Amino acid sequence: MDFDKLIKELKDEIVALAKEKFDEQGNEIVQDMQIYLEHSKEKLQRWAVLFQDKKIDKDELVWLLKSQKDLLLLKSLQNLGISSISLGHFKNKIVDTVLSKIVEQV
Amino acid sequence: MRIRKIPLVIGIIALLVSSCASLYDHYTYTETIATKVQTLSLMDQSDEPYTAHKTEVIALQNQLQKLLAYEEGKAKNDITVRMWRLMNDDEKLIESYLSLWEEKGTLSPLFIGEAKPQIEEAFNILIAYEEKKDKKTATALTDFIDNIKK
Repeated sequence: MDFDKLIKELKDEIVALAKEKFDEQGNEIVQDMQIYLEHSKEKLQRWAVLFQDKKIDKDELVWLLKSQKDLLLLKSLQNLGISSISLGHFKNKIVDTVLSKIVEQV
Repeated sequence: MRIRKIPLVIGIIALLVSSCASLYDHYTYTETIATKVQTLSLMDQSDEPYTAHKTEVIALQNQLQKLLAYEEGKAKNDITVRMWRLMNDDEKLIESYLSLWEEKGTLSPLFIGEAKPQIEEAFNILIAYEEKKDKKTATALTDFIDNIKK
């Protein structure tokens, strides 16, 4: 199994997703995802061994590989969303300040 | 003087809140945890014939669809909606697991043991994301509106 090819395909998809959603913060998100992807390698290699030892069949191996890809997509979405929430927190500080001022005035 | 200013205050708050990302939703949080438990429990039984668990499978699919519809109804909720669409996708995670179970009739305990942490992690990502949403502003606004009512 060509793990390097699989990892490269996953990285390309993540980069595209990050760029689509957040141009400026895209690089930071891609870096986070590459770290996560490195952690995935261990699982991918374990599943390959299970398949070679015929402990899981091809359909099961395909499901596991796809599930890892789906998790990477979910993780990418989470990172994108958290960036957005951080921006929201900044806006909320403004809301808090405005609320305090208004309460004082009413 | 006080009464005249209230509509203005509410207007300013509405304007500011409309610019913020979606807020923490306790219903989403608890329902996501409940759905995670429901899914993992069903996966534990997938070493038994699919046909014996068809009712539970449909109940889980309904629950997943219900949560997607709920999230789609909220404004500024794009990321969570995309996450729940993925959880409902026929070719991904839960739905593809259920299809595989249906195709094969039963699944091996070894495969179930490898698949469960994958699904569990997916739900954990959704739960962690909801927790990151802003609880402080939701509470502050509720308190403020309560104060106006007094």
